[in-house]
Amino acid sequence: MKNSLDEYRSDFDISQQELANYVEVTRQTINAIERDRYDPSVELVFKLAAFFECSVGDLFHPDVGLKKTISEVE
Amino acid sequence: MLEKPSQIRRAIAVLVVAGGVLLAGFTVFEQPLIGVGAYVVAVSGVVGARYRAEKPVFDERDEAISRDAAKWTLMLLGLGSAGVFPVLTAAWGVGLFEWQPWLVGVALFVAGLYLTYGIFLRVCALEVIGDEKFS
Repeated sequence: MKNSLDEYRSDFDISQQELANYVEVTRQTINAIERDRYDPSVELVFKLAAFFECSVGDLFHPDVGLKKTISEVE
Repeated sequence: MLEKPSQIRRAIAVLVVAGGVLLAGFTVFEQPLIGVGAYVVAVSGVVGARYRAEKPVFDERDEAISRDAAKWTLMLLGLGSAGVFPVLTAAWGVGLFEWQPWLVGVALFVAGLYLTYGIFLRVCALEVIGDEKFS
């Protein structure tokens, strides 16, 4: 899942290890998320967004591949 | 020593492997009590290493990796068993094969494993959907 985690991290000048400590995961997990090699759980996604005080959509940009949205269905 | 989570993870991996190898090794050389003693020391080391860590050593990514590994193990074992055991049974039926006690043990183990898997599949499904009917 595409994300802006590394940009947010560098904007706030914190290391992967520091971020990992704040959201209680390992540094390797933060690294794997930034490299799009691991899709975090919903809980961790919200934790990261809460930490950076942004919305989940600001941080993560999944390609959900929807054919239609609700307004197109109705 | 053992300051970083990565060092603790490595130490735990070494202890787990060493414990298993020592238990098996001493059992093969007919020293079961030494084997069990070494295994207990290794397991105590694992528990100690995990509890002395101040930072998370394992997290949700490890759980995801473990789930993937279990999935592949079950799939490969299942596919292998689905092919091998019917062939052996057919070969036994036409007199080309004799079941050996160790192979019967393997077959029963596989059957027990999938029975356990089936039970947990049901239990976990009930936890997720409860007794609600699908709409």
